[in-house]
Amino acid sequence: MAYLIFSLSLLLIYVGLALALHIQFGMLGVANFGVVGFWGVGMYTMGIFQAQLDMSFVDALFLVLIISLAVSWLMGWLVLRLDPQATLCATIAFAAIVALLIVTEKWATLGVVGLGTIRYPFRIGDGTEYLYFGFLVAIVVGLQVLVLRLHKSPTGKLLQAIRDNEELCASLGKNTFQVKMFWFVLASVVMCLLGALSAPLNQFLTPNMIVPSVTFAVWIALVLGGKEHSLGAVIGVFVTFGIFDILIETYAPVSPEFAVVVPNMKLFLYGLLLMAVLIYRPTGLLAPTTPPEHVWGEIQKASKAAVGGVAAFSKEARDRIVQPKTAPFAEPKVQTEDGSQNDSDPTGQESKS
Amino acid sequence: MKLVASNLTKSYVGHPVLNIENASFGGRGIEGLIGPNGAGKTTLLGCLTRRIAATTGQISLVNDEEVATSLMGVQSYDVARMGLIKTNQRIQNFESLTIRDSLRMAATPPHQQGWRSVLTLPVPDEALEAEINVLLERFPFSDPNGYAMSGGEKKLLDILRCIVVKPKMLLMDEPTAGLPDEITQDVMKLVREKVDAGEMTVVIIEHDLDLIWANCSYVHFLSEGSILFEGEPDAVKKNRVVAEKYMGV
Amino acid sequence: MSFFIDSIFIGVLQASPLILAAMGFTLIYYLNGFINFGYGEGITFGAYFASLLNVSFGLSFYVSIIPAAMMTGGLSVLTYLYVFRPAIQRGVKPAELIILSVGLSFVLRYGLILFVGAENVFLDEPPIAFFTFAGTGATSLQFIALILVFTFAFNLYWLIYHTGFGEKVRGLADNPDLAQVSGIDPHRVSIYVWFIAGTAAGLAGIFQGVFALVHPLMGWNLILITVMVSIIGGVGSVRGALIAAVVAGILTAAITLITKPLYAEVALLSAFIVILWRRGPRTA
Repeated sequence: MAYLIFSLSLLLIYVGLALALHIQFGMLGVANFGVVGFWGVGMYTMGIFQAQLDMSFVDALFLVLIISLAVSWLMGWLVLRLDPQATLCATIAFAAIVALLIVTEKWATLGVVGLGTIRYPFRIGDGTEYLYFGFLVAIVVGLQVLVLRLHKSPTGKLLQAIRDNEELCASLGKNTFQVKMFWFVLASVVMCLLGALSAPLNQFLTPNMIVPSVTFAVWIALVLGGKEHSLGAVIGVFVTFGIFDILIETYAPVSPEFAVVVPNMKLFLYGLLLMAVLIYRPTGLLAPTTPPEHVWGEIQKASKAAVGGVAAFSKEARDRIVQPKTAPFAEPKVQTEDGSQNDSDPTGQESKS
Repeated sequence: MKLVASNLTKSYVGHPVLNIENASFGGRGIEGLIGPNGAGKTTLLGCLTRRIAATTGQISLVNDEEVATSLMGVQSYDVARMGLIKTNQRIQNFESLTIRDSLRMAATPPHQQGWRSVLTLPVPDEALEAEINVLLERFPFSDPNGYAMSGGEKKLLDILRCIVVKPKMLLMDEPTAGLPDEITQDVMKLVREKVDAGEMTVVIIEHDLDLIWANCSYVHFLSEGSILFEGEPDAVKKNRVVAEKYMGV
Repeated sequence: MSFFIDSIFIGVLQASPLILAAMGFTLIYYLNGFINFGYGEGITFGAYFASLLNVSFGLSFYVSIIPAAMMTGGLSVLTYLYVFRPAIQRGVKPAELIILSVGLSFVLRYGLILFVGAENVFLDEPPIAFFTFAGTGATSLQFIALILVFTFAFNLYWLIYHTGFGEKVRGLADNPDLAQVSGIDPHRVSIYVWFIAGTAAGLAGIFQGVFALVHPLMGWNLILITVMVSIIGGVGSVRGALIAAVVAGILTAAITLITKPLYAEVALLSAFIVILWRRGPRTA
């Protein structure tokens, strides 16, 4: 049970990261491939302040906030004027620098020895983990509400306009760099703080937590769920991390010799799923304009496909992952509301294609 | 509002495409800028709106109180905020915004679309909504509540987006390209209304000379990067240089 | 003075796999305009193909170089035919192609781990002769690698800049529409280019593997620096990548001599970010 709570807490952290990435990539079009860098900065500064300098959780969190603001602002200033491919490379390099510095700066991070122990901000005996889990739920729900409101707000439209055509947007009198900077820094700081909050979960920090596969897991989740949809991040994390890491690794009855293979199998399937989605349904499971009442149907299809893919990795299974994505709204039998779609949607936001 | 350029040059890899000693646009209602292909018309407009960095020269914006502001070193969004907006020759669009959202986004002033709007979720401005409704009734989009579909709709949306921003001076880069005739006529009618009401002045780049003669009260003739002649449409029509270089007479 | 000679010498010797990888990577980047992270797996697979021939089948190391490199070229063509070409035809944009290549890289890397395991593999090295050159020790193997790198680089340069095929590649990269109108078959040219690039990756992997060891993450460790080198090298020009790869190798060696190698990497990565920033919004 304790392990399940740990996994679920980690799942929430991933949802948070994916939501922050949704703001950066899905809404603003900034391809941040250094998610683990920001996350690592938050996690390790938290660890250093608590374990090395013996600060209280709140003091440490405040300092982490200041440091992450500085780091995020610096990165924003460096990468936001670049074209998407260069941004992507620069942020990857940033994450690599963070990972390297954690290994080299032994005086602060203790290098490969590891840094510990990081305490929970409160201790109420056996219930500590549960209370902390609740705390994380509140934070992630807050983030999700922020994203949902962002989609409805004038700012959200401005962000989408910048993503679509920044130059056109500037020619209409919008200070696009300032807007990008604000939201990039905000989302990056969120990533850092989520790192800080995951430090007590891990209790003991080692450099091998700061690996690119964290970034890729978040990206895969977001792209899979639907990078431009406000619920894409949540759905994506549940489909990837929820199904693979929690359901399969924790509950699937696998023999011990097969259990070693599971993590590699998982990353292999992540890759396959990502490729299938990008080729056959680039919008992800939820297209940007999927109306709320259709979300559940898409999730059902998605989970069926994902479970099918894990259960038997065969030709048909791959086709089952792939097929629902080729025809987003084309099959009338799947979407019963299809006929009345225009009427039920006053803003007329039906699928463009 | 007037736009004044002096000694403006632009060269690409040492090859001069623009060389303007002195030019003044604006303040004469609807003005036309004509010239053969490759004369540097689009480059000139790009320099004037600070999207293209001029090689040398000075551009300034003179407001109604005769105060000149240099545009050199000013960001393109600030130029737009001063009231100078340009429509695009090639199709430019925000593909993920509906027609309404696109117009709304463009017309909303910066302080109303800051991060605070996420917390407050302000109701759309009534005057603006009314204006958008009028525009969408006046111009026939196939789905006024949806997205701009065809190239023509996108081009029309581009022009309307510039108009709802309420520029003091509107530069129109080939408004007829890609638009059906009757829509062009409607657009020009709308522009004329705004100009007659004193809301803005307009400079049009156009190959369709009939449109220029029908609408413009003053015409600049650009050839090989320089302004060779300017004046009233009748004077331009009769000018020998223009006739030789452009109209192929 | 000897510091300079040392760092240049060590740099060039160490950089030989990097130079090969950067050249191949640049070719694809040049032609298709996106960063292919799956290319890193070409490096890994090159080393594993060599170990298959060299360790499992007992062939001499030198004999297994060419077939292993060709096999990697074949793999590269397969990824183009079955992954990237369908994606490009379906209109997947460059930013998403990069993510796609990350997915491919995951599939190849963890597929490899699932099949052959994550253990380190050592290639059967041929007998090695040591000698000193300009005051620094080197092995015969390093010299062979170096000669091969220069041969490959020279041939590639000649192919791109002095043959009809190279003209087609440059035409397709500069203006795909125009090139197609003038009768160049982009499909065939792409297949050749992906084959050559894959071969370069394979060679890079084989030498990286014989210098150190073969493991499933070796390609991933090399791809980041390859990407950096190729992007700094200029707008996908083979010439630029060649120069940048040598310079990066020498720089790494120079910094390594002063401080720990990890700091050398930090310094290189920081320099990379600053260079990108200095260069501003123009397309990389």
